[in-house]
Amino acid sequence: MAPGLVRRMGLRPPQTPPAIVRSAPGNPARSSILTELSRFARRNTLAAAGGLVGAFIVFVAVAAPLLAPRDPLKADFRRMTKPPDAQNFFGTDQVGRDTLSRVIYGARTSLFVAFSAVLLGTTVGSVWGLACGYLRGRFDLVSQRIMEILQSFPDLILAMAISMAIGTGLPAVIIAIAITRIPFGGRVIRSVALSIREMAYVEAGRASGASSARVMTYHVLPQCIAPYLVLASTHLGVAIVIEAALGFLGVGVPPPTPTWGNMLADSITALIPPWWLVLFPGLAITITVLAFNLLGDGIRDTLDPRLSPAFLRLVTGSGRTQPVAAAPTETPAPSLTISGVRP
Amino acid sequence: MTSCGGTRSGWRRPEPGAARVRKYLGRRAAYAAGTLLGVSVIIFVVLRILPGDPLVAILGVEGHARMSKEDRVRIMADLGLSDPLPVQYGRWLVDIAAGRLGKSFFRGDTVAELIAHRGPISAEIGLLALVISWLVGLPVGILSAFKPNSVPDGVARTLSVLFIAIPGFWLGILIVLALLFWFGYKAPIVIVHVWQDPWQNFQQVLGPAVVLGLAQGAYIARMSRSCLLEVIGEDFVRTARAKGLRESLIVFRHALPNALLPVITISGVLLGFVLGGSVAVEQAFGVPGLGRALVTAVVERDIIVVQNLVLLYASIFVVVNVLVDLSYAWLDPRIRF
Repeated sequence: MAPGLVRRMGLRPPQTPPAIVRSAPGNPARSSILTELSRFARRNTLAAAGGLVGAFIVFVAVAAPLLAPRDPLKADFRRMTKPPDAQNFFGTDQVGRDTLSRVIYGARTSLFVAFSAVLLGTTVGSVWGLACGYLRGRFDLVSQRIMEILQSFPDLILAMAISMAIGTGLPAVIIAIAITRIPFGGRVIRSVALSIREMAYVEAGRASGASSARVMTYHVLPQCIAPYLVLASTHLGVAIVIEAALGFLGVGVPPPTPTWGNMLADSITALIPPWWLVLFPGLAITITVLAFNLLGDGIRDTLDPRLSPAFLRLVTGSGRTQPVAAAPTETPAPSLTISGVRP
Repeated sequence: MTSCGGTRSGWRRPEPGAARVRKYLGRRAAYAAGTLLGVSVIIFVVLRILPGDPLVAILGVEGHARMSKEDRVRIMADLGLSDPLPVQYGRWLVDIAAGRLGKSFFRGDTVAELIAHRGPISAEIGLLALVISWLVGLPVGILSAFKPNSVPDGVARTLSVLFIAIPGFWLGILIVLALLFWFGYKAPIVIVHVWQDPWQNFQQVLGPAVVLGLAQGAYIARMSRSCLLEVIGEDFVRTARAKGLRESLIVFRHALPNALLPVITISGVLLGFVLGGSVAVEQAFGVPGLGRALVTAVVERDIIVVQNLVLLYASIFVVVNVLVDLSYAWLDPRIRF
């Protein structure tokens, strides 16, 4: 719907956020993504550290062929089950493959699966939840029931059953993990959509004859992006653990593809598992999950302090996703401001 | 996240009418039964419709090709897999109602025997993990909340963040390895029931329970800390302080009961995590529990076993969450049936 129409109807679209001026020094007009990031880092040191480590792991995953000292699949029968030494920093496994290279390549598979699964699952769930919250009625009732049923399965067990049914392999694992993530997205975004559909500007959109699909995409959807990001980032860690567990249980990405879970599964086939085969892949999982959890927590604390009414006010009223850039240039920089309060 | 409990002091618990309770119970049970029915439909759809020919799933592509056509038809009929799907589904439900859970393709023992033999071990692990999680999580949470931002609080929070991130099955392998390395100790591998040899059984159960309990305890510590902090900010706690009550009395009489409700909720939600996690942790410790049986069945594509065990796990999850709901009404008199 045309912005002019909104103005004529005396309603203000949410895209004009009230200024949130924090007592941060510097010229607000100059602030960019970088300054926003540095502000985030100063407020959430741990989350920033998690973000850095996470970025490093993503880098390792992407640059695996450049970083890995050896071919992760190449067996070397002269050097089987060797402890870490100068030649293989993390030792070798039972068929002489280099553990370091396998851990590095494992990051590739694990991150790819986790990112795709979270993206797929959260997106499907969010769109579904958005439709539920906006359309209400019988569709909503039935959908809520289905999501509840999906949530009645323990995550890992549902993922196991699905991955077994549709065959092991990368796509199967991604779909299996994604399905376990759908209800989370569905429920949270539904509650956001439920409150947004009552906003005056949505009503204005409806009144001016926009179709449900149009109102949903142009007026409700933009407000769901912040909670969507929160959801996606908090579920990354879970997805990585599920992927590793599936690999460990032998229903994940099939060997010989190196994944951290597969490596742990391989390690315990030995009567006495060599410690380096257990330690390094597990450490990789732990550090990655820790990093993403810290980052996710930080993002959640920034964007959504516990999905509370205050959060909903934030999302619907003030649009904190793009706040500082919109700080008023016409008003002189106030000397004393309270965050979230218009001077 | 649910909001933390509010004021409660001064309330007398109104005695809810027995009839009302019964009515509520009935409604809640019917709802849970509906959910379980849906669960069974999803399991059936996932396991029967998605893989195409179940015989290929069982025998593998090669084994399937090697078999003669009559053999295939006979086996399918034997297993009851050649009937129309709705008939198969209906028969499954009837079988469950009658307590017949079918048989493993490969081992010949029935699923009921499997559950009776291996279930107790897994149940012990789950219960012990629950006890450990509360024993560890709650005191840590209380300690954190009453000295926020102190050194112990920092340590507690760091540890809880760490234990949430560490995958239980990895910690399990590490513990097994450490015990083996330094003490040459290995827990018994075959099933020892508690009524056969309590000590041996305890050794078998303790490891997985500790691993699962610590991870769960980390969530509980975190939740109880944040809820206690919220409750401590309330007026009635200040009043209690102002009239000079002992700190212990303030904590255990005034603050804690109000902060517990969300902690109980999260404990119920975490059960899903324990049930799923126990499957991997049992594998890591080599404990022959139900989770191990499920993994074996999944790897062997033993559909009948998988469908019944998955249903069992989901049922436990659903039933416990109904109990959690009921415990609300018992713990918080403001919640009416």
